[in-house]
Amino acid sequence: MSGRPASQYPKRTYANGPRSAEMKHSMSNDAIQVLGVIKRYGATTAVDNVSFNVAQGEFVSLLGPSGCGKTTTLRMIAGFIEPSGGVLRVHDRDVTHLPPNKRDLGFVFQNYALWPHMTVAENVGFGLKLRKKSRAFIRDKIAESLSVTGLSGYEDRLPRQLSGGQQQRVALARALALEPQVLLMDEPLSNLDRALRVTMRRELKELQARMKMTTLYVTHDQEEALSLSNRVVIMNRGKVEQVAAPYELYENPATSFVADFVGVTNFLEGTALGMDGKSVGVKLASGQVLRAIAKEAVTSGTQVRALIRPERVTLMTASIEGENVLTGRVILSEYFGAVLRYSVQLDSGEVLRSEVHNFDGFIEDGARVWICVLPEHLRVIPQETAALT
Amino acid sequence: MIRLDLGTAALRLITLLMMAFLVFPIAVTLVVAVNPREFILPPNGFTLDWFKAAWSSQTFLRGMGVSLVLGISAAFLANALALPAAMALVRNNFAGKAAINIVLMSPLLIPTTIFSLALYIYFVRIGYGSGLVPLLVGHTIHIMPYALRILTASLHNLDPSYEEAAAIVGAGRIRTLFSVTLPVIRTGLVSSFALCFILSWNDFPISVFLAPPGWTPLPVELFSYIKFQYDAVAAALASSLILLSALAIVIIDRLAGLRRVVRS
Amino acid sequence: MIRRILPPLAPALIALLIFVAFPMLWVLRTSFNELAGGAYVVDALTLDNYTRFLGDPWYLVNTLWFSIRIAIVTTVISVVCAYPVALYIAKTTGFQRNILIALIMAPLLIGLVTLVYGWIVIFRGGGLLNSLMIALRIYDDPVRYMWDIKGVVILLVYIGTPYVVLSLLDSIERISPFLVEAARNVGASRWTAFWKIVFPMTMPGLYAGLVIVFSLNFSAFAVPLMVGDSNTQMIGLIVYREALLNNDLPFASALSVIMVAVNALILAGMAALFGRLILNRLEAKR
Repeated sequence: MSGRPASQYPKRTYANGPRSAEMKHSMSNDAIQVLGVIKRYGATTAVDNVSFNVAQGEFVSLLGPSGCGKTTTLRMIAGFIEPSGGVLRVHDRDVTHLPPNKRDLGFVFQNYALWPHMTVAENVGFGLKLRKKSRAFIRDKIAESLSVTGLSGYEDRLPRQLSGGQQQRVALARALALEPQVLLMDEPLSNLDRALRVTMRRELKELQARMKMTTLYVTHDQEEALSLSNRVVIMNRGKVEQVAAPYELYENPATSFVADFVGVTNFLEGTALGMDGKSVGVKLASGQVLRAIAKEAVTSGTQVRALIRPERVTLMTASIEGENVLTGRVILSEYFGAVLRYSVQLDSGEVLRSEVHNFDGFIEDGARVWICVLPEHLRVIPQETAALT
Repeated sequence: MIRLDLGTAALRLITLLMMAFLVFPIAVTLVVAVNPREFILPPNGFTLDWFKAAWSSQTFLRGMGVSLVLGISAAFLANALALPAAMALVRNNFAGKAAINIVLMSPLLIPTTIFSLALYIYFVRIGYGSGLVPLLVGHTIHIMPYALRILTASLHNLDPSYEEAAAIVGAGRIRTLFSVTLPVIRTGLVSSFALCFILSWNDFPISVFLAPPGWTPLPVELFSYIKFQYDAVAAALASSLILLSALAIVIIDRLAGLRRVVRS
Repeated sequence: MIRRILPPLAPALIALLIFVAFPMLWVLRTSFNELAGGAYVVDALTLDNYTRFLGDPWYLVNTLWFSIRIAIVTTVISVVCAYPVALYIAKTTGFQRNILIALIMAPLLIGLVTLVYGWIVIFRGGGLLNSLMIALRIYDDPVRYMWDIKGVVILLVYIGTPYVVLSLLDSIERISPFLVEAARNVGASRWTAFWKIVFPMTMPGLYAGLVIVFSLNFSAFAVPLMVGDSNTQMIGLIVYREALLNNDLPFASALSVIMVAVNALILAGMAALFGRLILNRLEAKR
């Protein structure tokens, strides 16, 4: 239930709970600090004691299923929703109770929220006009923002005369024109079709890298989150499950929710035996003992789950002997071009998914297979945190 | 996001005052109708005497009968005209659909004064003058756009696959209409009928132009009465009209949603 | 296609042709006819009916210009009253909203005569307001009749305001709250966000409300008939009187034609004004 410290940012990553309180008044280089933020709607808690940070120039994603509280969190940072508790800081300024127009944050809406009665130029220049900038300055700034987003020449169009992708760019240009301290984005690509989404994703990544714009990005699309972000905050049921770099998240999921949400995972249930350094024995229901790796201490005798990614499940058609060898039968094979996916029913009853490249040859349905699982590919997490949605 | 602040508080206050303004004459009428002391407020009791007087007046009873028959017939005719038109408009997309829609709604765009005068002159010209037929025609045409609006909205909510499913199992067009379409949109039909009836029942401008002598609808009768007499019997009669309208409002709101009545 | 859509549309369209289009054309034709012997319409082609109205300063000032002024004043008051109400209703939900909408719509569904009766009880000499004023010692005696132009204005506002509220509400509900948030995000205060985003976007609703209420009030005859006096000779009332009491159908027809023409002219002016302001940008979206 707690956010794990991510390896790259050990000092700046806060676990939720009591520790966050003492950090409240510390100075830092963080662009955004979210400290124990809570949002209640009547009896339901939409955002439950959420803490994380975004460093200057960093790209952080809030990832989770719909209703997990990620958008609510983002909208609280923007000031559209008042938190029920906790502190929000932007560049060490407490903005928790500041109205949105005083926060100086860029925001890109899921549906773009372009004002239909204003031209592209008027949309982009509106914030500058409110800041009483000179006409010449506004004109130049509009031109600059539109050229950055590739929309030069569209100044006098109305939003309804633009395609979805173009509207998306206007929304981005509108946010960039004000040179905000921080850019907040709420599923900005989700209304585009798939091909355009991939293109825009790449452009967004290049743009962010070039401008070194601190960005907090909400998405339910793990591919987006993993490919764009320096770090990802995984949320579930209003709580932070894990804060980590994409690689960490995939290879070292802290909870079975994270393991299941990011990528596909096989779970094997068992009882923990004694620990030896990081190595731990897991006794499966069949009585077989597997060697696995645990990131944190596991008490002997507790129920645990051993996770293994399908691409780590290597199938052999010839009999092999030794430690960590499972046996089973292929019950389903699916062909996806570059890869093949097999479902293997183990002799003990569990079903494992396996993903192999097509050049490894094909295995017939019903064929008997041997699986050698390397201990370093088998990750153990305690059963208590294995609450799945 | 409702924030309680000065702006919202001001809006609420203005809204309350406006609602009071809208309800005030209606409330006064209702109070006067049950107040034993004629027109002396505040009331000192409760009586149904004024209602008894109103409901036993031959003139009023006759007016009520005329309005009832007129309202039911006009509502029936208006829906009979509007239903097939609404179905054609909802089911098909064709060039000129928007134009036809405007034409069908046109009775709402013409000021009632001119609409009534035109019908009056027209019927005089073709030798009819004022009479029951012009009166019925005037009411029917005037309320038809309202029926069209509610029925169109109901039909929009009707999944065409219901009718397609009926056709697949062998129902003909007429059978489908009566066994599937009409039962499914019955709430729309009932509220359309209620709305048409109440508009006709309460109408004054058209009736005053087109009603023939001896066939005066209730609102016109009430108007003549209050022109010469000032007593609480009129309040009781007006209250009867208000209560019937309130009933219609509730029916329409429950079945179709009030907003559809005016939403284009 | 035609074979499928024409039969169901035909009855309604034919009814409108016979009972709306023909009669309207017949009004135009009748306006050039003459009245003989004070009762009989004689076919002719004369402009007498028009010159009788347009050449008479009393008609021009006391009916046509008076009706325009009343319609403008009542429409403006209705809009001013309706705007905050529509804004507030847009913020409400559930039961409160249902009640507010039912109350707003009540005057539209309750008959005119019934509503006027309530106002008569209030405003009549010796009525509620008069008694109150006597009690407060503003007036000493019962007055016979407490209204003239004021009564007409109050009633037209009373009947017109609900239309404006409902058409504004339609517009306001179309505005995504994200548009306001986006404005707040780029630095607009609540007030600025209202003026620069919400207000321009309610123009279609405001315009629709203006058109309905102006046309309604400009051509009103029932209200001045019931609560007006000799100072409230609105043009619709003259049409009513000439047609039904004086039986002068050609003159009533000419007045109707003038009424429609003036109304169309004013609405065209409003359309041009609003179109240039904002509607051109918003409207093509629909």
